Amino acid sequence: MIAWIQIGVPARAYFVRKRWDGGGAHLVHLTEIVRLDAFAEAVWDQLDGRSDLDAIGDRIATIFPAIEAELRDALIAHHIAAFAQRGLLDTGGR
Amino acid sequence: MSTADTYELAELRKAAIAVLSGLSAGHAMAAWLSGSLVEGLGNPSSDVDIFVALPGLISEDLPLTRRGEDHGILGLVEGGVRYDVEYWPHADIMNLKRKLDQLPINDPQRNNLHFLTYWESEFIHRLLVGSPLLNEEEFRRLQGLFDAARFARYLMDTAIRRADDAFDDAVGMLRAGQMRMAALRARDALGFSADALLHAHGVTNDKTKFRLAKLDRLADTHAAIRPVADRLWRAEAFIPDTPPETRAYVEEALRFSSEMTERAQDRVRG
Repeated sequence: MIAWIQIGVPARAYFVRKRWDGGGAHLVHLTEIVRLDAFAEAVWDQLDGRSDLDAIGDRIATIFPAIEAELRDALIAHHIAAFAQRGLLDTGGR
Repeated sequence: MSTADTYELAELRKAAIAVLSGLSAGHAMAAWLSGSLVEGLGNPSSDVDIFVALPGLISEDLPLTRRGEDHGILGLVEGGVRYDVEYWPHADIMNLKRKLDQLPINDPQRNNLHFLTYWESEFIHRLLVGSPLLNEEEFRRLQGLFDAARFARYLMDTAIRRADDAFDDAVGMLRAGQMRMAALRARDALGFSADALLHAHGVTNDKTKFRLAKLDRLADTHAAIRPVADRLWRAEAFIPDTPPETRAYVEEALRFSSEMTERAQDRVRG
């Protein structure tokens, strides 16, 4: 949650690539691979460095309209924090 | 294809048939014209490629410039034009059809890089885009043996593998301070990702020398490709040479590479 609060406009790091195989989507950073479920992938796709958390939440709401707002926001926060902790977000140089 | 192109193709066909008749290819199952000129990508200096499907083995008497495992090539010059005549036995064409059919798709455990050899890949593409010279019915049957979408998917997966290698190289080089090498490798990643995008749209020509022309052509029918083609040209044409600018170039190139690859993958995910 702390990481989420610190990153107001989160952006994917340039050195991370998203790939897809028959088993689903995953992030690759050199030798590190992070599997994504559909929700996590949708969150990742919104991290364009221009959208703040409200905008991200609004777009995720259109993709997953059945998820109640409070739970949805908590899940978004969880995933962004996890990406940040794994070093997958842009922190201005790495 | 414009009227001028149609005329040029007709002239090309006439000249190719004359070349074939001089080779007594009367026992051929089918023959077709192919290559960059047929695809509208060539120039007056381009070779002309003629393919001949044979019912049996390649005769030892056939004068060949190069004899491969599954085909033979005769190179000759007529009227200032270079012709490459490729002979393929029907049995080898059928083996290649089965090989493509067995290609594992969507299997994360399999690395399909080099699943098809250069010549096999070339043959399939050139059959798919070919123009019949002898026995059109048989030519169409041979064309129908090969699943173009499956082949394009193979090419896309191959391009993504290459893009990934270049991408990871560039990241490592950048971190090691090898700025110029990182920039060149990031540019490689851009090119391979553009190839993946082309193949995701069904393009089966994998020649890098025609990359920009293929993107321009695709942009004529898919407006969303135009900014991609223009951005690629700018990125390919200029690499800055001061360390901060080179770093920024590499980061931007890798982001652009990711965008193109993801677009390609999204297109085939369904």
